[in-house]
This record gives sequence, C-alpha cells and structure tokens, in this order.
Amino acid sequence: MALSKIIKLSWLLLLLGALGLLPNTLIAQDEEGEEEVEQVRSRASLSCVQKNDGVLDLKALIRAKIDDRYTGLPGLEVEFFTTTDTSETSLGKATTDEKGIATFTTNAKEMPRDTGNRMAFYASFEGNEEYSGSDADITLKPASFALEALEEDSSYSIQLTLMSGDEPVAEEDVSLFVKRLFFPLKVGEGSTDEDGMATIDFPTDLPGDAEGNLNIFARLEDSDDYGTVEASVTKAWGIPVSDRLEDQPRALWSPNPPLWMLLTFLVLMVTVWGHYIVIVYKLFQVKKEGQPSGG
Amino acid sequence: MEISKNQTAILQDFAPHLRKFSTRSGIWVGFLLAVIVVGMYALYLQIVKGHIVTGMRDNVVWGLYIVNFIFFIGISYGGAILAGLLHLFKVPWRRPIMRIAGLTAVVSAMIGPIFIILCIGRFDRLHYLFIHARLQSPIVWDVVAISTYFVGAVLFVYLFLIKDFAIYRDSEAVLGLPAWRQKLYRFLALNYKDTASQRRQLAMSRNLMALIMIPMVVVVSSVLSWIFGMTLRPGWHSTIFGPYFVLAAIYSGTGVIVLVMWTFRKIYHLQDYLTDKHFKYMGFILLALGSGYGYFTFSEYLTGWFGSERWDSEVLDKLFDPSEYGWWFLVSNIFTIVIPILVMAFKKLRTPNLITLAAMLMVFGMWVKRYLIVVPTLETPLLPVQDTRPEYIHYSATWVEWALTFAGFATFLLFFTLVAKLVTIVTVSDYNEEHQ
Repeated sequence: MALSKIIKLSWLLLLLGALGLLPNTLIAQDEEGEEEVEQVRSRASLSCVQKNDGVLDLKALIRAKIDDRYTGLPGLEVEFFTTTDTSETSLGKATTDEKGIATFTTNAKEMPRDTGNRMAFYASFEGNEEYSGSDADITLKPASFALEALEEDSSYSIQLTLMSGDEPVAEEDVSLFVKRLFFPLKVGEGSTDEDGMATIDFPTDLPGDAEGNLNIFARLEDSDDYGTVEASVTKAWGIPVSDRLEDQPRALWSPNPPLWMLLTFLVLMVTVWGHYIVIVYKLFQVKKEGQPSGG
Repeated sequence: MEISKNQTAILQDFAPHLRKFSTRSGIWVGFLLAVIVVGMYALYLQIVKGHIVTGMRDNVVWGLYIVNFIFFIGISYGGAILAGLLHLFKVPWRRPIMRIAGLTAVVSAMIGPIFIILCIGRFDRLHYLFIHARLQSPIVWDVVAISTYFVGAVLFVYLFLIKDFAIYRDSEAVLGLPAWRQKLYRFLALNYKDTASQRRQLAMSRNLMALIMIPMVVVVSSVLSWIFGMTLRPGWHSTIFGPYFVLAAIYSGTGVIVLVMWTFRKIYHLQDYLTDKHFKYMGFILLALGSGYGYFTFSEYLTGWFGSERWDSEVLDKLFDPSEYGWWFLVSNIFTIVIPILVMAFKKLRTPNLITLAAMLMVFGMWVKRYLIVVPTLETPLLPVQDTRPEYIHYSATWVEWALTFAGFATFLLFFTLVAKLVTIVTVSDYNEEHQ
C-alpha cells in the first residue's frame, strides 16, 4: 500500500513539476525568439576566380539562416581588403546580388605577396539592423591557364598548361566547358602532368552560333592553393546554327511551318473568304438593283 | 415589296412582341442585367487582383471559363450546321426553325470567345497572339477558325433576314413601329424589292453560304478539339476527338434550339407555328445524334480502358471512381445518351414537354461532359508534381468563376430576348402560302 502511495505521489509531483516548468520554458523560448527578431546572425564565405591576364574575381557570399535554411542576402555592402602580415589595404566595396554574392574584380599583378608568393584577401560585412556583421578570408597563390586549340584531321582537342608564376602546377584535376545559355556544359576532363599540361579531346557535334563559334573554357575548381582558375578561348568548332528566323528549316518546331500546312491553311482561307467576298458582292448588287434609278 | 395576306397575318401575330416591351420583359431583362452586374464585379476583382481569385493554378490552368467556351461555341456550331442542312435539303418543316437555329448560332458565337478572354491572365499580351502567331499552333488555328466562322455565321443569318427586313420596312401600318426602327429596317433591307434578279442573287448567296457553312463547321469544330487532341495528355490525345467534338457540338446545339423553340412557343403562344410535329422531328434528330454521340463515347472510353496505358488509366480511374468524378460521369452519360434515346423510343413520350425536358437534361449533361474533358486531365500531369499544394492538384471553381459563368448565360439570354424584340422569331418571308 505504502509503495503504491509513493508511486502515486511521485506521478503527482512529476505532473505538477511539468506543469510548473512548462510556462517557464515557453517564456524562455519567447525571449529567445525576440532576440532573433532583433538581429539575425549572418555568415560570410570568400572565394576567388583567377582568369586570363591576372584578372581576379573575389566573390563574397553573405548568408543567414532563415526558416532553417541558409539563404543568400541581397543588397548588402561588402568591403574587400588585401592583407599582409603587417598591413591591411582596402580594395573597394561591392553589393550582394539576389543570390547574396558580392563580386569585386581586381588584378593579381597589383596584389602584395608574402614570402611564399601567396596573396591574402579579406571580405567584411559590417552588419545592419537586421543582420549581424560577418567576415571571411582566403589565401591563394596566383595561377593561370594557357590554352592551345589543336586541330588534327577532323578531330579537335585543347591543350592546356597550368602555371603558377614560372612554376608548372602538376596533378590537378581540370575540366573543359562550353558556355551555353544557362549553365556551362562540361565536355571533358583531365589531369595536369609534371609540366602542368593536359590535353583534352573536344566533341565535334556541338551546335554553335551562326558562324559555329563556341566559347570554350578550362577550369580548375576550388583548389586549396589556387582557388578557382579559368581561361577561355573562342573557336569555330561548332555546327553553325543561325538564330535568324528565315534561316530555320520548315518544321513543326521552327518558326517556319511545313509547306503542306501553310498551303492547307491558305487554301482553306482563300476558299472561305472567297465565298464571303462573292456573297458580299452579290449583296451590293441586290442593293444596287433596288435603287429607284437602277431597278 | 408585295406582302401576301398570309404574311400580313403572321406580322399581326408578332406585332405586339416587336412593338411593346411588357413589364414582364422589363423584370426579366432587369434580372439578367443584375446577374451580369455581379459578373462585372467579379471581373473587376479578377482584373485588379489577378487570376488568384479563380480556382486555376499551376497544373489546372483551365477551368470553368474553357468549359463554358467549348459549351457555347459548340452550341453555335450546332445551330449553324442545322440551319445549313435544313436549308440545303429544303426540309419542308424548316420554316419556323431556321431563324431560331441561325440566331442561336450567332448569339452563342458572341458569348463563347468572351470566356477565352476571361481565361487569359495577361490582357496586355493578347495582341502577341497575332503578331507572334505560329501557324503550327492549334491555338492559332482556333483563333483564325473562330474569327472566320463568326463572320460567316453573321453573314449567313443576315442573308435569311434581308427579305424579312424588307417586309418589316413595307409593313408600317401593320407593325406601327417607331421611326428609328423603320429607318433601321430600311437600311438593313438593302433596297430589297423582291425583283426576279434580286431573288435570284439572294437565293444563290443563301445556297452558297449554306454550302460553305457545313464543311466550315466541321473544320472549326475539329480545330477546337485539336487544341486538346494535339497534346500528348491522357484523355485528350485521341484520334476521334475531331469527329467526337463535331458531333457533340451539333448535338448540344440541337438541344439548345429545342429549348429556345419551347420557350418562345410558351411565351409568344406560337403553337400554330412551332407545332408538336416540329418538336417530334427535332426529337428524331436528337435521337440520331444521341445514338452517334453514345457510340463515340463508348468507343473512346472502351479503347482507353482496354489499352490501360498508365496515364490513360489514371484519368479513367478518376472518371470511374465515385469518390472523384464517377457520379458526374454517370450523370453526364445518362443525361446525354440514355434519356434522349428513351424519350424518343416510346411514342407516348414524344411530347413537346418531354422532348424539351430531355433536351434540357442533355444540354446540362453536355456541359458536365466538357468539364470532365478539361479538368480531370489537367489534374493528372505527366510530370511529377513538385509543389504539392492541394489547390495545385485539385481544381475547385471560385465564386468569381461561377459569377462570370452565370453572367455569360445571362448575356446569352439577354441577347436572345433583345433580338426577339427586333426580328420575328419565325421567317415571315418563307410563309408565302398558307402555313400548315
């Protein structure tokens, strides 16, 4: 009996405790909620794309957790810096786009280096009423591609050389892309040898513009040492596809209808409207004949 | 022109309807205008707030508006082809029906396309349909077909009105109409004096027009079906959709003509003109068309069900499932196939009232059928639905769409009411001799 009473009492205490705690928990949650409404924590990340002639695109992505998902924050001002052990120089400012990315373009040739030939960058978002400030940095070595387009009989290939200053960059995975309307189309991949070279075959059946031009680019993706490195070349290796409406073939999909369809349409239209015209003409005759002078 | 005694007698019968606008007519027109005003308010909301006020969403992008469009344009085609056939074959009992069939064709053709306009979300881009028209698009075919058909229908009906306009013009003493009406008839009568040459010209024009109207209705009605048939969607992609639509259009058009005949017979006391015999003959036409329609329906669904392709089955399951569209599918088939055939099968049931009741149920069933063609297919997309909000999958018409639907029906009735005040509902000029 005594044991069952103790158990019952324990349940009661537990229940009371739960009831007593519950409101406190709710209040605590509310308070946290209010804090979040005041200022959301933002996060920054910095990446860099190295292009031909030492052109550098510094890309700072500013995000925040909204509805449990990290979302890019548009319209925020981000300041970019280049840093050394002893100094920090502002390069300039850029505003984030609809994806939350602020892009600042500069040139590697003008950037200070450390003893290991490394460049260091730093991007900072100061914060505003809605979002807290955040910053990110990146350190990378300069690198560039040299592209050579090779044509042999009817086959094409791209020979690329990846160099960091005068040093070849070996054993890096590189890919070849063609610029398309929405996203780049990957057409091949390879790995650089000890001379920093790789030769990648290129397809012969890609549609190009009216002259067959294709914008081909090689890319080293998100390397720890070099960031992203890109270089492009334009070659007339594609099948010419005209964007002029009158050059398109007669087909169901093209702006020019098949001939039989056009003829059927015209025959039907001429037949029907021809009848209308004859009938309207006859009505005019009826009217004319009924006029006092004419009939 | 010379007006026979018989024609004068008919004019005397119709004079009060042409001359006076009774209190009863006033109340009726007022009621119709009230319905239209509610529709206008719904349209205002739709323009200001956009199509979000309708039940149309992603996936189900067509709803009541397209259903009404097919319904009205089908009625119009039915009226036109019936008038053309009755005239060409010189059917002896056609005289009181020709005018009703012609007016049904024109009035419905005015209402149908309005629903297309209501369905277009971006009025401001309407002209793109013309400046960027692609001849390969069935939508473009339909726009061209309906515009061409509408001009033809107006011309066709007008050809059968000219003689009557001349009679109204020259019957001032009998009709006693105000000056503006006389002036209007004089203008529309085109100096017609029934000379031998004028008679010949008009007869030729009528024959020519009737001749072109019949194949044209077949083509434009098929074109309407091809808007659906040319897609690969289950329930639409069918080779018999062209003839199925043609037959359904003539069928529903004939049904509406019976309803109009009954209504005018009742209100205008036209038992001498629209006799029981006319209803019986129209009933026989309904019987023939109903049997054909039943055959097409059976053939269409049997083929789909027997093949049981995955997507076809998905739509058919919805049509056969009582918890989805099963009951409506059953009601539609009973109203459109079983009841008209049953009423005409038994001699005792072939009365004007029962034939009209069968026609009314059939016309309603045909409207339901159009709904069952449009909506269940759109609720069965070929691509998996990523955004699975219930309103994206299941269409449910809003009050805005219903208000505009009723406004469309009210406009149809209003136009008919007003036209019946302007012209006689039977073709007076056809009654040269004693009418039977």
